[in-house]
Amino acid sequence: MRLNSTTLRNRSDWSGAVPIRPEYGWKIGWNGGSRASGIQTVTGTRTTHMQASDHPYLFLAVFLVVAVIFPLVPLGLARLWARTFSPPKPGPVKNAIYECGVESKGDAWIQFKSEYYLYGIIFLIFDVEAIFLFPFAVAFTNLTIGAFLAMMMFLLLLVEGLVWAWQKGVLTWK
Amino acid sequence: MNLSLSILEFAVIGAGLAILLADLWTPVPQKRNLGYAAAAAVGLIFLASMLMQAAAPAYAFEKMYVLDGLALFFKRFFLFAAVIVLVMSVEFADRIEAGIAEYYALIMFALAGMMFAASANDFILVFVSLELITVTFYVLTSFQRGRLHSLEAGVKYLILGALASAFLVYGIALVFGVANTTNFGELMGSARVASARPVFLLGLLLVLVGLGFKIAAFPFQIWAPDVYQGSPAPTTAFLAVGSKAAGFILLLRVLFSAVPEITVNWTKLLMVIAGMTILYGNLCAIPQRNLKRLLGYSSIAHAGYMLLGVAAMNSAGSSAILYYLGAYLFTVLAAFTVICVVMRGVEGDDISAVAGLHQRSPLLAASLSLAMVSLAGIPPLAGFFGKFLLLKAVVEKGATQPGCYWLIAVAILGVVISLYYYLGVVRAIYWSKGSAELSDIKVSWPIQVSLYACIAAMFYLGLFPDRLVNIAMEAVKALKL
Amino acid sequence: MDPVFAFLALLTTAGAVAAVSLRNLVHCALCLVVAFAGLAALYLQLNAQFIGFAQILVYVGAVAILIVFAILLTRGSEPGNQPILSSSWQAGLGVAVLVLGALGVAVASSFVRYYPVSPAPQPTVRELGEQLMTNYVLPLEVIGLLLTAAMIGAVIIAMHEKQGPR
Repeated sequence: MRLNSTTLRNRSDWSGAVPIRPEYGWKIGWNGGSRASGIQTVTGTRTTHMQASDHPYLFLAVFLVVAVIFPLVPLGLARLWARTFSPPKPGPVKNAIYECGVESKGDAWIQFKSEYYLYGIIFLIFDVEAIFLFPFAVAFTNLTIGAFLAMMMFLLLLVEGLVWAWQKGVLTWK
Repeated sequence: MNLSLSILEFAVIGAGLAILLADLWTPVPQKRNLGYAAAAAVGLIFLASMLMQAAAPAYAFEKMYVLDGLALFFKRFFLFAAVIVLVMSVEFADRIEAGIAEYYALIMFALAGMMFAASANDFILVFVSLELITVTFYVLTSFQRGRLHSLEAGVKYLILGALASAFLVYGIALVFGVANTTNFGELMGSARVASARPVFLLGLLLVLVGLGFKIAAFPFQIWAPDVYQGSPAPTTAFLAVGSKAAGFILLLRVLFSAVPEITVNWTKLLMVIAGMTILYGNLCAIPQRNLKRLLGYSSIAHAGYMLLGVAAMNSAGSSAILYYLGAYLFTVLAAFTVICVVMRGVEGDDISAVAGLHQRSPLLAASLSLAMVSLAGIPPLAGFFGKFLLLKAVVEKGATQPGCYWLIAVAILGVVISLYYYLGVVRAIYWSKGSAELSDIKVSWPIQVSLYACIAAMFYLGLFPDRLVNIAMEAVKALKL
Repeated sequence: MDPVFAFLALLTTAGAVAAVSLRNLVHCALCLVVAFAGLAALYLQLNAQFIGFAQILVYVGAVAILIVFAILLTRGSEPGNQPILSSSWQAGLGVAVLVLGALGVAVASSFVRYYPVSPAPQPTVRELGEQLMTNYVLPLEVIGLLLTAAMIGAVIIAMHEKQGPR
């Protein structure tokens, strides 16, 4: 069962030394016995073999469907149970906080500390940077020294931003 | 790869990063003076750019980047504008609550983006450099975050700017989808074949929408008055001069360097846009009482005048745009420098704030009046000759396109309308009764120097236009006209 | 039409429509995540793995978090009373239909009919990296500057007034 040979379209460089690739993960999953046979059982017999290879992310779709059904079924059952055996009859006494706890005051929508947002921004910027680093890392073995220096300049620009943020105290949690 | 071609941009970026780092070790009271250091650095780069020559176009980065006469002209333009704007922002420093050094650095980053845009020979570089300009301006417009007007300007610019960027990138995608290249040189080769396909034309139209937003041409001008009004004065000045000029250089490059064969068919479209922009800007400026808002509408009108040069589709028209931009640079910077100094502590930037200015500071009064007179296009100042050159180019075009005479009539009508509101400002300065404030205004020496330089340039360009006209004529040889 | 594409397109569009039409801002943000994820799936369906995973990493990961933070930061997250549809929605609809019509006519009349659609290039990540580091190195540097400027600007504007930069 060599499903990956068709989906990867004979890319010779897939067997390169770089471990992180988007497809690499599923390649392992596909080849790694148990999950692959699991897909087989879901998609049926070997006649659907070609179809499965046309949609390399089919297992994701299956996973998604299962992930939705899995919690929905017990939730639905619980609701059904509640409806038949304990119909809701709310009242002021029944809803009161009793035994422990204090009455809550105000709204649950309080303003968060703005540090969260600053962290979020910095995370986003470096996330985008990682997107550019990734193809650079994959192509690294073929690159010239000039390309390497260019990437270092790119990194330096962003590190400058980090140094600035650090020195300004953006990263200290107050 | 020829790195030395883009040495100016890298110098600007390096200076900007140095300002950012220097800020970390500068005591708070000294921080505003970093602006003078930044202005000096950019001034030095400006002088260095004078030593550069670009007789023949030189390419770098796989023909993505071009250094020709046109690019060099605009680089000098942007560098000079940035020097004055930086001096202006030092004056403005006490009105910015926090992060003045970042303000300087962001101005320099925007400057780098404009310089890259001047040399862009590929849609990819066009897009990233425009994004660099726009994203820095989102921040620069909302820098006075304590003021509601500034934040409003920032949000409006952000939303409409993002929309324009979306149009631009969608257009680029369509162009690339048909022509299979984003390079201007290769596009010119394939444009004739591709022009048969409406998708290609649609893509180019969407690119025009994105650029039309940058220059605030009708019907993409909605943002301009609000953003001009709300932003800090140095930002508005840089937006009016730098961002607009960056839009024009890209417009010229796309229209006359990437797809000249298609542009020829768009004369009528460009003429209509130019005429509507002139009328809209001038008519809406009449009732304005807020000086910055008035200049916002006037900048729309000036974009319209410059579009006359694009619609003329000849080298006379394009060189007239360059001359006009040169004149516009000194005029607008003088006006905003005065606004920046006078409007300290004045809420609302109302025209009444300049009442009796000639008693408070004759230099400021003279600068603002001369700027207004030049913007109105009254001889012997620079603005007059710019309009004259543009109209002359359109008249030349009129031999083949009779509609041009209507366009000239519209332009002259616009000039007549504009006299009313420009001279209204001059009247407020010298002949208004009962001004509340009559204390002297102290003008620091760097501001004085930049004002004197702008006044001298306005007179020089108006009285001896030959030199700049010749430079402009040389520069537009890079375009396929 | 490919059923997978139809499903994904429907999901993305539904997410986007829900994101602009729901009253509760948090619900809007979550629907936006659905739209982002649908878009990523569309990229994957087109065999553009790199951009698909980049979409998940940046949009579903970081941008969605940032949006949720922004909602939590602003107090006015209670549903407002103003109507969802702005008063000029007819005009907006007209413009949208016009643009869609122009696009449709342009696409239908030119590209598909006369030219056989050439197979889209399917670059590997390695090829992307090589292109990025050779032909497109200048835009890469400009993007680096752009990211730095954006970070500085966003932090400066978002920083709390009192804590202000030192």
